Amino acid sequence: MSHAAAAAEFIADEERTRWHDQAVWYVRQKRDRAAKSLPEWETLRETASQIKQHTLSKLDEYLEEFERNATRQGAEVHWARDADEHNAIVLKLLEQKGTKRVVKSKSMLTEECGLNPFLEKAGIEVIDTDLGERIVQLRNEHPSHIVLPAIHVKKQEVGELFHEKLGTKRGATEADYLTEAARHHLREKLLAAGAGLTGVNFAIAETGGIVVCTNEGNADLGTALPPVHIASMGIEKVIPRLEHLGVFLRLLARSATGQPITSYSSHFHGPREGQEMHVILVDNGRSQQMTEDDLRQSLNCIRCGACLNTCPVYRRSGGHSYHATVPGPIGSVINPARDPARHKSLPFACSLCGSCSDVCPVKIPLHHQLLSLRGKIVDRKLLPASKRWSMKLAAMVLKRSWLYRILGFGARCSLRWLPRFLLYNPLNGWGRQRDLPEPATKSFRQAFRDRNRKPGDK
Amino acid sequence: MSDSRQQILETVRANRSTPSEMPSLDQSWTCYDDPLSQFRTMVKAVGGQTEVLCDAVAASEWLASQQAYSESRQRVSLVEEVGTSDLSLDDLARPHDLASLEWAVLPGEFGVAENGAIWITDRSARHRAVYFLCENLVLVLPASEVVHHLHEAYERLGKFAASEEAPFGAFVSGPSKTADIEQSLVIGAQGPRSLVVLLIGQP
Repeated sequence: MSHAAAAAEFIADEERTRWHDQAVWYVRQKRDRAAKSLPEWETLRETASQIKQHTLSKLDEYLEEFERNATRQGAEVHWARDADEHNAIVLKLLEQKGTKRVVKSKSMLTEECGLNPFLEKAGIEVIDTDLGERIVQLRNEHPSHIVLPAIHVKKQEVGELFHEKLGTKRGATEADYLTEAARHHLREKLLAAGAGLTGVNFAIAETGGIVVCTNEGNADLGTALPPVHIASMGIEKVIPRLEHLGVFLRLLARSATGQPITSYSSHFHGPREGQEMHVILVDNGRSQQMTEDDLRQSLNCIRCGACLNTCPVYRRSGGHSYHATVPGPIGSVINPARDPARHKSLPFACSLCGSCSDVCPVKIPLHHQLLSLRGKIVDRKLLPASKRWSMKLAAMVLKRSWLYRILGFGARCSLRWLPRFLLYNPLNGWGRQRDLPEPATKSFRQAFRDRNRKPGDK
Repeated sequence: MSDSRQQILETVRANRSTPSEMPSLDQSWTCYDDPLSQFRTMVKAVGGQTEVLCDAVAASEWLASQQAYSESRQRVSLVEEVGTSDLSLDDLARPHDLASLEWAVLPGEFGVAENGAIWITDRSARHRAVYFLCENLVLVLPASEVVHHLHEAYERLGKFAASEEAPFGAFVSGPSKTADIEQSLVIGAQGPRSLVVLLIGQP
């Protein structure tokens, strides 16, 4: 389904669209306040972008350095070319330990790989421990936002869901009460788990450590209790040095939610005593994304979600209308970059306003990339026939000035005289929600001639 | 599996971008006139509480005067002379036995003024879960140990990275929290419901 078709379903509920828009905009405003509180904000962005660019220019070396040091710290490093291989590695590790109960802290990568359904099919219980992610998991949905997975769900809906699944009072809607119920439910699951899965925010080549950021402490509980820790990361998450975290951690939470830093920024270097630690390095299309100069910078992304929060299209169409693990501007770049046929409508879900590029903490030129992807989609002939033919027609007219003049004259007359039902016909998609403009009385040529005519000329 | 490793590395090598310099982190980052007071402001902003006390004895007395602390049934302290212990971490075979721990008084290494974070490690705790599983967390650190910003913090942690067996370490900023239900902030998600930072001595 195209983004526009899915978005049409979302905006059919006007009140909900407004609510969603405001909820997301509120987060953008918090980000603005946090960014303005640091005079060096622009220096941090520029530095972060340069660190990422440098890393991509030597990514193979940094991956090897990370592997060497992580191994030295006692972790086992695995490599997965794609989602299937990643999932197979996780399952094998769990089977070796004979565990059937797994807790997972937020990881967009395991979402991308479809790990949950894969493990469930193998008879393993997977519990997402981030509250927002647990809510969407219980609803049999996917996250609609990369940082706020349940931003599309209203508290009344959470109340009904928890009443049904966790036995809370019917009709309860207070966030405190519902979070308390989830706390008990999740702590029980955390204590019973045989393995803890986490994502990775940053992997440090120099030390072989990984950093995971959460507000709830669920990644810490999920790794401090069970005997196995499996961390899954995209290969672009590696940074050269420990000191670079100073730059990225200052940007991440401020850009994401407007907090000065997340409640927990945990640095794992090898397993704890008596524990096993595994790190899975996943490619899944990332190394191919490096081939194209104009798209490579999208690998800078630290998944803060700022571009989603600022995007006028995302705010008013909801994350699910993108039909992809990562929605919003960054999702509209990385998904079609990897699979243009499947995600061909996403680069067009954009007004090219450029706000995403302005807020991006690692300076990805998102709106330029979206424009260049549109060109690629045209070149691959992936545009729908209606757009292809209308563009051909427009090109034919614009190439012939006489034809353009005749049609211009025709349009000015017909817009003035034709009855409404003929103008707003089914072919006029633009006029479905808008009125056509008042036609000018003269053509531009005519108006220009009149303007240049000297006084007294006839 | 080694096939995958080779294949990924080869593709990455083949697709490297043009060489680009690593930027310098030697920049003029914002510093604070009074880092301790900025640190206390930030801890409060992220949902925690701070107390400055002249020594360990005073800290212990302050804790004892808190009704919630003195009336609780399960407490543990890993800070000498501050607080009391009803159980010994070293005697517990599994961290799971800490599930009903009400108060934990634990060492913090230093604070960060810009964001109210405290660096902790599991060097002195047999079970690192104690930092996250307790209902209420008290972190004790010298009042003099407050750095301006994260760059200074990581400069300090340089040795941490070089050590052969680096411990687990984390920046803790406030109690566990979530705003996943309609953006309403709730303190006490899965981890500690409260954070008290006791700053000992003179800044």
